[in-house]
Amino acid sequence: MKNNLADDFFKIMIDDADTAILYAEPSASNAVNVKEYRPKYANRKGQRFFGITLDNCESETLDDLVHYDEVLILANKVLETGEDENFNIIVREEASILNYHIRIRIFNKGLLFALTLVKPKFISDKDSKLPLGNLESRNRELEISNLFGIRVLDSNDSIISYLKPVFDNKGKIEDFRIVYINNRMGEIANQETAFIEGKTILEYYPENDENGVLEILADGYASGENKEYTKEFIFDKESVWLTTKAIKMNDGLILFSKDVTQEKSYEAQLFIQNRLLSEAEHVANIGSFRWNLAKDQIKYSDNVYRLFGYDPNEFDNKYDRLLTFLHPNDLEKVKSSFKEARKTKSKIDLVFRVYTKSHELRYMNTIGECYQKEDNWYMVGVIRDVTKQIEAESVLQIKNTELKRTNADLEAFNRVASHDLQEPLRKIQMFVSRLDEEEEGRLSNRSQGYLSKIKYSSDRMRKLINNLLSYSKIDEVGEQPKRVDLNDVLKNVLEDLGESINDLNAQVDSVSLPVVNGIQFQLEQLFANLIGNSLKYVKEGVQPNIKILGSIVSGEKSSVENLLPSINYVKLQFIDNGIGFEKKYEEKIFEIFQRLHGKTEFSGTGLGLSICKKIVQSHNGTIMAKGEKDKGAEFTVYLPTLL
Amino acid sequence: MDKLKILLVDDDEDDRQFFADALEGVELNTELRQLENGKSCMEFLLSDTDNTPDLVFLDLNMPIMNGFECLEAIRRTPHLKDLLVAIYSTSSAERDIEETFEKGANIYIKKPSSFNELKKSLKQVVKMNWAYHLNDFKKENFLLKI
Repeated sequence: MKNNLADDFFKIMIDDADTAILYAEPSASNAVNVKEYRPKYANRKGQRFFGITLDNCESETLDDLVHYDEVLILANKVLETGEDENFNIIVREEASILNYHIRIRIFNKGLLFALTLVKPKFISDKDSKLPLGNLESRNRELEISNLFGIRVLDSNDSIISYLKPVFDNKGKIEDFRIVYINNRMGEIANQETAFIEGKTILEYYPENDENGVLEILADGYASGENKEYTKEFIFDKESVWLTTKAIKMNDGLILFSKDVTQEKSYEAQLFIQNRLLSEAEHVANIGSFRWNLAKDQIKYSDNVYRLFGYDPNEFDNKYDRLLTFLHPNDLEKVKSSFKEARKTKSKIDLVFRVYTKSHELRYMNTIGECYQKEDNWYMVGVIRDVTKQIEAESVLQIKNTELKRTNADLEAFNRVASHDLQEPLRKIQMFVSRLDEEEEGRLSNRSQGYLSKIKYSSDRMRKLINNLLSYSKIDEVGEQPKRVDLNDVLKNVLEDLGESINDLNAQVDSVSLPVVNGIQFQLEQLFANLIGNSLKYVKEGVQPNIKILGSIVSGEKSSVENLLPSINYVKLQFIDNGIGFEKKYEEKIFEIFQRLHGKTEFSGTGLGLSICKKIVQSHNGTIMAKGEKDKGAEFTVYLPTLL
Repeated sequence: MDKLKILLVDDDEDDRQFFADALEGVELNTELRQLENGKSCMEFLLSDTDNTPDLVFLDLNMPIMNGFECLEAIRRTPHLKDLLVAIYSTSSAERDIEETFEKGANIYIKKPSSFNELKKSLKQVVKMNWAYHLNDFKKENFLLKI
């Protein structure tokens, strides 16, 4: 009785249980290779689930009830190993989709199948090894499609999750519970889905409050509006950027999150590069543009706006708007050039005038090239402000014109000096020489004196003209610079000056001189003028002494101005013991027509040192004077050595 | 011995006078003809072939037809291509000297500024052994810059 009571009590208990229970034993006839299980018992729930009664259950086989071989395989496995098997199935009962947890375990001589209804939820593929149950075919289809859905969800690149709000005691959303999440999240965060599911979003990731995610989701839930946001999350010290779309569904939110970490890093790089470009444009005064030729939309860089005097994006990005900046006289030129470039997809390179926002006239240069991308034609290019260059060019042009005119004047002067001035002078000299010859001894002393004065003056004039001519001809490069041995130059000059050296009993000392790159006759004139000066400005009662020294110096080590540090120079020194000059004249002495001494004391045209300076300069050198009154003069010449 | 026939082409009357006087002082056995420009020079040379001169002194800067043009015209004329031509000019420009030698001048004399110099130059030219020098035709032998 007691036993019976216990039996009844147990029966009632298991019949009232939420679990459907089925007990089946392997058929004895086929004990070696078990293929058949015969139900021996089912509780009430089990009877209803499998559609059997205790009376007829033994006439059915498990096969008939479940239709799937896999069930038998699992059952066999339990029977063989003695270990429990657990899995889930989804079944449709009337309008609801129900999820059952199934457990198979050894019991007595057979197997006990226990089916427990679990809370409705999505199940993952791995939890449902196989469908089970006495299901109608549409139920199975649903189940399959559901499984398929799970697979779709899992194979999706996005993290898909389903959240339900958690309310505080005032009915305000204080958190969301993660009811479902597909396996992508597990992959990204390196966590089991089961670890995540069931947690609230703040439990799972506390920063969701601070970063505003909770607020966005709560707002989305309350308003029913779709929400989209991109946030950075740190999983396992790795930064992950997720773009999430939240959609209200039933009493929860379905979230689609996409891992955009890569894009974010590209974006960051792009941002940096754009900033660099923008900086570069700013520095270089250049703007760039990209023009979609089909759509008539031009994308300008910020600096383009600035070039036109505007703030970034201040004016419309249409082609026609661009034309409004143009100087009226350049409008047609620009329009036709762009038209041609759009038509033939050719390159453009244009200079045009524009008026900036403040009505300032500026010159712009634009260079653009066309290229095709995904069936669209684009023109990309740069715009730069070339006002300064243009202005400099025009200044240069004016200077050039002036220079040409000056050159023409100089040429005219040369012609006048060489012919028109020399011609009458030559005749004066001719007549004077004839007069002198024919009237020799017949003129009074006074008249003879006048004649001498005429001769002297016309001689001076001739020298002056010749000096002026050679001065103006120094830059007229008739010959190419050649290797010139300065020893030869000195020898020739000393020969020419031999007579006056002898007359003055002058002492000339020189060292062996280097070789330079130059024009021989000009260098001879340089030496002749410098040595000639030393012979001219001698001190009375002192034997003239002239020293000519030569050495090689490096431009870098020399403290002399105007010398290039990268090359070596020949340093020539002409030192005399003549009358010298005052220190204050050291610069002035080279100026044209500068005379330190009266004409009567010393003959000269005031051009000798000017010619020297010009010759040295045209040889890319420098000349300097050092003097002290009554102590002699020293001239130093630097000429570049042979390269 | 035949008189040396000399033609002077110069537009400057004074210069022609200096030349004539100087030549007279150098050599009596010469016959001087004076013309004022290249055009009259060519007219004379082309028409009066019996009196073709032995030596022509040619100024460069002349109106109507200058010395360069006249020199070219002389060298273009078959019977004149071996005529001795001395350029007689104020110019000492290297460019002018080069150009006249390129165009076929034989001598270049820069007009001097003293009468004595002129006499010396003319003496040198007139007394030159032309037959000998023509075989050894080099510019520097005939360039008399005075």
